[in-house]
Amino acid sequence: MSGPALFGYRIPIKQAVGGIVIWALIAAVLWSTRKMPFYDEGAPGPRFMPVVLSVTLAVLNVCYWAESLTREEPRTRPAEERNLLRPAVFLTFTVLFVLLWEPAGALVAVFLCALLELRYLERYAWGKSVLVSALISVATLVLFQIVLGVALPGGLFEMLSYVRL
Amino acid sequence: METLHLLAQGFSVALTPENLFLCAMGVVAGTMVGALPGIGPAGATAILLPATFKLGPIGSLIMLSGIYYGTQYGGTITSVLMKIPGESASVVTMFDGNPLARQGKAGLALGLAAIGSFVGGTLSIVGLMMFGPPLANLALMLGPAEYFSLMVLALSLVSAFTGRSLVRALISMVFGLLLSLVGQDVMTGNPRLTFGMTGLLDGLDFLPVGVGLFGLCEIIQSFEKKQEYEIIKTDLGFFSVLPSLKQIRETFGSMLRGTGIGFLVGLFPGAGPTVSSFLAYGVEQRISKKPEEFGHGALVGVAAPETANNAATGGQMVPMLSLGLPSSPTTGILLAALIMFGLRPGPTLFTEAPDVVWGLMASMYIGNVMLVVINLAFIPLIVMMMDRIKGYLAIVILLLSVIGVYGYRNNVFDVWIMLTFALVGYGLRELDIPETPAILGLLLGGQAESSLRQALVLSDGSLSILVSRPISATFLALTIVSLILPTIILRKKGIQTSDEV
Repeated sequence: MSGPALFGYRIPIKQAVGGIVIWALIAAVLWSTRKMPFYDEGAPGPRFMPVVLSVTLAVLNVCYWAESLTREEPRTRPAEERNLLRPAVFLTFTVLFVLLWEPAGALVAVFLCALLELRYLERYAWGKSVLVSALISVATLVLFQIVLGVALPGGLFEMLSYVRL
Repeated sequence: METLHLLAQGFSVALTPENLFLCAMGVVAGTMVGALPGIGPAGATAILLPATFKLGPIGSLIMLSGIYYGTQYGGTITSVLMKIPGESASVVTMFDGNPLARQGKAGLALGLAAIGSFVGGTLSIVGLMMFGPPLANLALMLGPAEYFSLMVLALSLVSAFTGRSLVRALISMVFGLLLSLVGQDVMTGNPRLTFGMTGLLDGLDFLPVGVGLFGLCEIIQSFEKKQEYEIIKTDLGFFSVLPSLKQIRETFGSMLRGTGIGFLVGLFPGAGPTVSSFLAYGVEQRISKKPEEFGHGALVGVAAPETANNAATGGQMVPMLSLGLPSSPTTGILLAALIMFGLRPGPTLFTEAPDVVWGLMASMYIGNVMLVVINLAFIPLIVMMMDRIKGYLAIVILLLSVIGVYGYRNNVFDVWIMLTFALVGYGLRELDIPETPAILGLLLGGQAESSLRQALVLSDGSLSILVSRPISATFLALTIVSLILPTIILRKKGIQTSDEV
């Protein structure tokens, strides 16, 4: 997929977007440090490094776009072999897991996340998924909270958060 | 003599039942991680770092280092038996290891690789003992200007050797340095680049960023394609794995050369096990009387790279322990572990925490012995376990990542940071921008900034201090050479560097 053209060359769309993100990052750094002193009492101030690095990044970004005009981009896997749905589903489960982590507690969050992952991504049968997820969530509680002493959120099972070895 | 005395002290630390157990756990976990495609040594050490907090600095470092050098052994198994390298340093082993397996000699390939790894790993620790302490003494003489220039050199070397494009590696490095600025300013204490988020006032901690970029990101990416493994069925019993004396004699020279190459390459930031294994293979091919055998099951084609990648792990410990300079993501994580335990990595570490440094070195000797035994005697068991656990790998890694990062400060904000950086890592990989320089930039950025600002305070704000002091000027000259030379060589020869260090 090609992006904008320059003198007959085309920047691949990914690199075009990547470059724009880098410009946005540079702008954000410069804007957020705009009120800080660059030099303070003869020595570099808090803005010194952000500005130096932003300018360097800007120069590199120009080189990056220039390189993208002529460089053949390597592709780790052919497009037809890539399945972007599975990473997206895994990420969704992970976000759900983190959202549930404190309100529902580690035991429930681990169970639900493991169940969804094993059932829908690894394609295990319902019975096996439920059993393994239950084992994983209990093992997590025993290993991390009881043996290693990591304070896991209790959530719905608040009383479990006081269990220690 | 003093070295031997310190080493004896180290053995007294490493040989306690608790540390022996942790060493065994580390090398077994490392072997499994190395053997399982989808997670590399950096990801594994990052994920397990929080789980080792309770163990104290010695126990934690012994276990994490065991994982690191254990992965170099484990990566061979999948290279030989499945033609899938478990991690990047084992790619070369595949060239001759897999043809040997197809000839029914998988056991021989794995046995030679294990012995080569043992030779490389053990001799490189001798090198670490010889070079580490003197280098640390020299480093004590460096002032802030020299230290800043040294960090610039280290970062430029990492960028020069990483990825296929210098521009992209440098972008990654600058991005990492910018990340290190988030939080309170080192001199004034004012909030900087926090964008109003109180969670960022303490800065971006290495742990969530590292786990996100290397651990979780790899798992997300692995879901793009369901990998199907075909394991070559072959006899992997103890006697079929053990090479004959004649075969050891034939390959011993290549093992010694591999050790030398691996250790020397490992000393330089950026050029780690992967580069050393390719180099050792190339050297053997060039000096061999039968170069046509390479790629078709040459024994030295397995022994040399395997020795080199293990020797490189010892070499990489030298700058990490003596100068506080990580040369790869994994040594960066070991460095982060030291910092988290309140130790100051660098020249003073040898005098301030000799039990940690020498205990670690002694444990590496012990770990290499454990690994050669595990890899000669238990390969069938490892292969069986790999086959059984691969379906549960993603959920286990996710749990370890989330619990590890959350448990570090009991803060769910860190978990969101980890998730964010898993996505950032995915984006970087899509854009063919290597993430290694970014993580090293994050690690070294704070120290580099304070060294530079201290140097500029000493010189009344004049940047000339960086070039007027001879050592600093030498480091900066070497930086320029390190950035220009690889580009010229690559242009001339059309060689591509590796993605991983």
